[in-house]
Amino acid sequence: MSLKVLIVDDSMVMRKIVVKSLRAAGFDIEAIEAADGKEALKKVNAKVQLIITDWNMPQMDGLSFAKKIKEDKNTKHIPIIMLTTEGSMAKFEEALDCGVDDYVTKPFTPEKLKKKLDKFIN
Amino acid sequence: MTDEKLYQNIIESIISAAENVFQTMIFMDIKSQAPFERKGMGSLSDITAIISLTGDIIGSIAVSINTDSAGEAISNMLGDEITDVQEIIDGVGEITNLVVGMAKTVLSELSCQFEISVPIVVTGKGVNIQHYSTQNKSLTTIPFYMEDKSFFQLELYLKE
Repeated sequence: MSLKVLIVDDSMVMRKIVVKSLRAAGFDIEAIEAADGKEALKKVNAKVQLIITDWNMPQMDGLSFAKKIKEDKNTKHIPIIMLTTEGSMAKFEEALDCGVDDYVTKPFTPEKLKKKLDKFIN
Repeated sequence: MTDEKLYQNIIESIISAAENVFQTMIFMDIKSQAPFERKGMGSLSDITAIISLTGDIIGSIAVSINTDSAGEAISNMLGDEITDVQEIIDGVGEITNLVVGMAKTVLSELSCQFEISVPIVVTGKGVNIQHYSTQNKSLTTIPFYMEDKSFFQLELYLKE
């Protein structure tokens, strides 16, 4: 059965790259896409198995979105991977404090993404 | 850190980030040429993405690239031939975001902390680009080449 993944990024090119990278890494996925946190909140449901979100986005950024996901009893179980150019340790800690489960910095390779995802899948 | 040393670190971080992003995600080897100063705020190519910087440094960074080169880069990035102009424009914004974000991380390790905006993309050559200041200050232009072909220009404006 396909893995339901919600991909949140304001760049449609980056969303496509994430989908391609996941498939190249061997994951059978059903991708749900959103351009920012606000749109993602409308699309998320308890059946989503993984969220990959950018940090800097218009309307609602990745941190505010992660907080809302973790505050909701219907969605708090969904692992959140932050995929962002924000690469400092301080930013990493800030993301963890907001409920993000793990962190991948851009630029990334399919292998780098797979390594992180393997921890949350199975 | 002296202003001159900081400026040098910023230029080096940007060049290294651009080369890394192109190698890792676009699968292209690009090389920078010597930076130069220019007056004027007109965009140098068809598509320009600009990101503002605020914090220990204040200013903006822009990437200007012609449509054909941008299409080639985005197609390489996605592994499919991309001809849709909206997708190419979106991709130029994301490439700029990747380069500036990576330079930001390197500079934060050198105790230079700043925040970056989401990219704004404008189209048209010669269009007045709203860098942090539109006063008649100099921009630092870094040309990037792929093999012997001019590929894009990266421009930096820092408030004094």
